[in-house]
Amino acid sequence: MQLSRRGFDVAAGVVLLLLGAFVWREGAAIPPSFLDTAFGTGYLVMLAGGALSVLACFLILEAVRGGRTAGQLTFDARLARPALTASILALFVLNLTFGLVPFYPSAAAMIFAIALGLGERAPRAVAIAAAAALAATAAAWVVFTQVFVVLIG
Amino acid sequence: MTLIPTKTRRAMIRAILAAPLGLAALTGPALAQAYPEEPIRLVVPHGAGGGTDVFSRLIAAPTAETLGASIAVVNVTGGGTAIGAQEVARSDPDGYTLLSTHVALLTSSAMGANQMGPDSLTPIAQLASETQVIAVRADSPMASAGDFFDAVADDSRPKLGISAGAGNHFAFLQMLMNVPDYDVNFVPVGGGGPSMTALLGGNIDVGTFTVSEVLDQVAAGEVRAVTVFAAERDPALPDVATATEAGFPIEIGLDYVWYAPKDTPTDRIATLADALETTMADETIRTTLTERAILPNFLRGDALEATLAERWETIQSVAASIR
Amino acid sequence: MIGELAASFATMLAPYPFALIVLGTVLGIVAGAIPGLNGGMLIALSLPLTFGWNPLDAIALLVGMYVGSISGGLISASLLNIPGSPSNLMTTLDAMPMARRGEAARALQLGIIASFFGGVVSWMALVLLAPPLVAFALTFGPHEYFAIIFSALVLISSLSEGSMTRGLIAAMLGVLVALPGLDPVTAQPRLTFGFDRMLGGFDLLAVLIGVFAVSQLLADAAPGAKAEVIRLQSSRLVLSLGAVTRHWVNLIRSALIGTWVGILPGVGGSIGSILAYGAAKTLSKTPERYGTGCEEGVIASETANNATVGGAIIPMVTMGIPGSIIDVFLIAALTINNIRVGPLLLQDNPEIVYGFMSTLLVANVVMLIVMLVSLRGLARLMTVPKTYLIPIILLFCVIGAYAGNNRVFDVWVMFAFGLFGILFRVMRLPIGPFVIALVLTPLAEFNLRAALISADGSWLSFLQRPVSAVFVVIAGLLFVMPLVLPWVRRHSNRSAVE
Repeated sequence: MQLSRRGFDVAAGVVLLLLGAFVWREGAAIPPSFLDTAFGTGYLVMLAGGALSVLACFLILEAVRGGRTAGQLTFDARLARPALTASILALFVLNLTFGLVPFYPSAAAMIFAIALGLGERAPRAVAIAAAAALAATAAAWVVFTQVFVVLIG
Repeated sequence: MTLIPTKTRRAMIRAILAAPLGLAALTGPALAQAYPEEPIRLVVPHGAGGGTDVFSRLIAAPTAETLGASIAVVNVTGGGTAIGAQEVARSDPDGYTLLSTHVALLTSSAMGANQMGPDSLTPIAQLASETQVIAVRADSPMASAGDFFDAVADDSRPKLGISAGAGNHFAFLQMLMNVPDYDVNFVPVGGGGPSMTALLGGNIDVGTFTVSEVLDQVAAGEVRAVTVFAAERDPALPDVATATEAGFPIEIGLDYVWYAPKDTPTDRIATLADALETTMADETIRTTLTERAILPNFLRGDALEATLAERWETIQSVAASIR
Repeated sequence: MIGELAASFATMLAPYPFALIVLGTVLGIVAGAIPGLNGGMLIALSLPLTFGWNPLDAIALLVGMYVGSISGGLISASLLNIPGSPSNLMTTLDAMPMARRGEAARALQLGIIASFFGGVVSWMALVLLAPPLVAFALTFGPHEYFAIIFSALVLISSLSEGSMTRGLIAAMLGVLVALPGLDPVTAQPRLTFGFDRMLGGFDLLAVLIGVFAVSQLLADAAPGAKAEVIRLQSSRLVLSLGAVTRHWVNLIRSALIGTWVGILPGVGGSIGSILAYGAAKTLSKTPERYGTGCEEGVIASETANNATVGGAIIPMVTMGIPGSIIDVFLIAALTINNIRVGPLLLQDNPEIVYGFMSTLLVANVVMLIVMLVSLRGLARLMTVPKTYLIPIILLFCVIGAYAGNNRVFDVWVMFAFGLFGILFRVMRLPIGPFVIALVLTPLAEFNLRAALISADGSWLSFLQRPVSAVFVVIAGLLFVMPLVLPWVRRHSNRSAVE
């Protein structure tokens, strides 16, 4: 799939413009506090939101006018692996959140899955991936739970 | 983690590497009693290395020994203790997740940051208290509680250092509740440490601290403790008059309390309170604490509930007064 | 004093304390290098172990950890594009491009030597000038802090390469990410959208691990992406003396900036390195090279962040005021052994003060040797193929993001900002202004508002206090200079031709 850079910039500008406006609104909704006798709680929020909106307008203008920045953004099969990696990572964090599988076994599974997803799938590669997953998880377990007493999962 | 007595030095080096391993070994299935049989997670909603953290760790070590289960101290900070306190309130009421904090639980609830409030937790025991004092630079003319209350009532508009919504803020507000028309400038500087820096540098005029936070600066003659807000003079600052003596009967303290989630079985609460009572009765612990100007002040059961309810009422009325 | 210092060196160089310094430094380097672990955590965890120790032994271990941890971050910054801690932020911006050009060993060596130099300069400040420096630092209030941070922001504003609009958008997004949580002045929730977990805001380290490490690792997962494996060539493991000495101005300037920032309580190594980097860039003849893998950037950042260590110890030993978060742990370690760290420390326990001085220098020397020697080992570690390296580092990122505050929420923050980082790349938004705004916003905001409150709302007060006035004027000049300089140069060139 191909996307024009210019179109993409305009779309991004619109999103940022809306985000800025939304942040402005959130800032304006914060009630004043007697504790701040000078600057006020919501001002910085409004300032950041407002500035973002203004800058987003500039971005849109640049994209519409600027011929040189035009080009193509390509989305193709090469994105499959980063997407797969991100999905496996998300599954791993989901499991951490709900505590279904204990953390360290799930960590080994995550490493194994990503290593397989990125590498070859010959028997030898699978064996290496499994070994790497176990070794790395064991190392992480020692460093974090035994030396640094991080209770996770 | 356990206290390391005077071992040989070589053993200590080994201890650095092996102590956490030992901690893991402790956590095997217990034989005799049903509770506790797993490690207990003690959430400290304050930063590691600060006063509350160090206090919690000091108490956790001997208490774990009494209980026969390890206690892992975990700092969960953020939201003026709201995040850590709410995490404990939401965890299973099985006695394996506890909270160690102080008045910050009440103030963050009264300020609305902790929306679950103190009722989401069951107090186990109050362990110790620190006395609140106000202090000024040594060259300040303010010398007594009377001077302080004069200064906040006249038009000098003194700068008071606070961390908004935190214990030191409420302490000042409690003092000022009795002054009908006070005029002060609350400067946000932070907790005890930053307040001291700001006081020494002349960026605030008055700071409020626990006794342990001012002791050294007072001894060095950099800072003067104006008055202590307790029924009696503090043993660490015997020359400093109480506010009561000056005719302002106000008592403000920082009381360390351990909590469990609401609905934790009463027998487990009792087991924990027993263990904490043993710890607090220990002479070594008492000496260690009093050397730090922390006064052992153990309370449990109905007496504790009543005290906390009264404190919660005070804090709420203070919070209402500033809205 | 010289006699006492010499005696203290003799004490700390005895086999047992020295072994503790080495152990502490090595553990510190490891913790600093592992994303998500940092010196503060390491020291907090070691604290209970030091109960009942001879206080000098505790100092040996903990100061070693402090020095090691702030230096170790350099390794992950140059080899993995992960700032080991926020104070290695600026290092990452230049060390990583250097590494991608095949100059990883050079970046590491320069960084190590710069770290050592910064450590030594701040040590000299500690030994020679501690009392007057602290007296001056204490007069700094919110006005001065804001003025300094403001000038840092101006220094950095020219950081973004390419489109000015995109640079400013990135910076504004950084400001936005810094805002959620409890308002630092009024404790009101803001931009939390009603979620309790947002009360703590976005954890800085979780965001940094996300935008730097996770997004980089995900991008590297694509087939044909530049190999993540960075080879350190053994043949290049020796650096000539000239390669270092020609940076002497930068080294000294950055060390002084770092030391001073270290002395200021409540301002950390990250600000020191941002300021030194900004100063180096502004004074450079080729500022456009910064951020593209330039040696000066690595040197400025690493010199300054190590110099903050010695700087931060200065107010602690003279006034009992922690100069950094790690100082809080050091004070805790001493109070637990019944040593009161306060203005009377030098009078009551001079051996402790001299112990800090001697340990700091010894730890810096140990750090230098350990880091240089371990380069070879690191070289081997880096030959792990990316297929395995990516998931393994991801695991460390997850645990690291969690470990700071023990919150799973922070892991999601890291993940989300990993995707956000990719979006940044696609939109061609520069990462530098984003992270700098993220780091500086909380400090700038808090001090601005505190200053205005204490001055009853008077903006003029920034010009009425001498130090803040000087910095505001400097910031003004810095702002105008890039606009005026080209004109001046053109003008002088023309007159030269005539």
